[in-house]
Amino acid sequence: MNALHEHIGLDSAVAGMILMDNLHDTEGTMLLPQGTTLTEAALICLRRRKIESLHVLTDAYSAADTEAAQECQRQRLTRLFRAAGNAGANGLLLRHIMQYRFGENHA
Amino acid sequence: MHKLTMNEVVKAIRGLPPLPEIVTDLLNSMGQENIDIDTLAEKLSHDQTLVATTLRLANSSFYGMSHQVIRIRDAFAVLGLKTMRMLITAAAVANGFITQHNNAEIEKNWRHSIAVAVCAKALARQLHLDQELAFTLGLLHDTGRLVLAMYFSQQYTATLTYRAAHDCASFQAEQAVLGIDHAMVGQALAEYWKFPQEIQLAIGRHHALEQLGHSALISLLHVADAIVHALDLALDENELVPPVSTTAWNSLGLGQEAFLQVFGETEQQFDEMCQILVV
Repeated sequence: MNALHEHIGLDSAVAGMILMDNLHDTEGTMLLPQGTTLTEAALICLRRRKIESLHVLTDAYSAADTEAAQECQRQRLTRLFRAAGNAGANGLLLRHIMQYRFGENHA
Repeated sequence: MHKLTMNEVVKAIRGLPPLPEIVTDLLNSMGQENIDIDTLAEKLSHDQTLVATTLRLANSSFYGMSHQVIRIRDAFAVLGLKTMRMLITAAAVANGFITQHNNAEIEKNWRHSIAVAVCAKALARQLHLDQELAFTLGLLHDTGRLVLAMYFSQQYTATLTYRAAHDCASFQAEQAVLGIDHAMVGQALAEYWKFPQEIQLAIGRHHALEQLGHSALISLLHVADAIVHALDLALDENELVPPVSTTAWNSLGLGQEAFLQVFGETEQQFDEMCQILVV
């Protein structure tokens, strides 16, 4: 079965979908980066910002697509920890977060 | 741009409306259990917006009540004083302080505070510390930033520009541009609002790495703040995890399993709290 990268209307978006492109508002301000897993709170925020459509991975049936989505999330984590680095407690926090996001085999 | 002095900040803070009397009463009654619930419920009933938000929180799935409560008195009976004190404080800060000055920047900061509140509460549960105090502290720890954004918007915008150019944490940008930071402003506000001493100090020191490790509560707040940045909940493209103090981290003594539970609880409860507290 194919994984679905789709441009969908905001009304069809549900929590758990993964954003496949950076999402900007009409003025070009970045709202959410590629790799973000959508949450209910994020969707409410997007509705308020009058976002109409977004590019998401709607169904992660293909291993390649799951891997691509995880790679986006990994890059995002590297960016988040760019100042903290991975020494001492920072490394432990990063490791726990990776375990949380990707499970045993990906930490 | 001139640097800000604490005198200027304190002057601005004195112009802020006081918190509703009931919140001051509740915060100062922390740790006491022999409070007259009838008097509290009566005081609360004068503020219908506060009643409505508190009831929405009480009825959220977070508390898993089998039936909906529609009266404050019933909510006290079912949830108990400690939980109600926490919910009323959250509702009052949201109603009185946040929703009247709403813009994207303030909303972003408020969402961060809600996330730190639920994360601090989850950490406190693992550590058998006071969950109510941890939640309240998480919610209030960045009120200094809200004061800067509301009353010193030009200077605040300059800190955002500095932060973007230097890719640093916000408190570092504030120190560089203003000479003071939001933790100091928050402590001054907490003094003005007559918060308990423990809360004042924790707010003032949550970025003072060298002073961490002495108080379990400050260490907890510091780690909760880092976790929330790492969970990427603030919808901020420039999100940055601030360096975590290894002393603070080790003082908590939690293992991976506990942290995974804390992450899960934080994400789950954050969504629901935001739907109620972000207007």
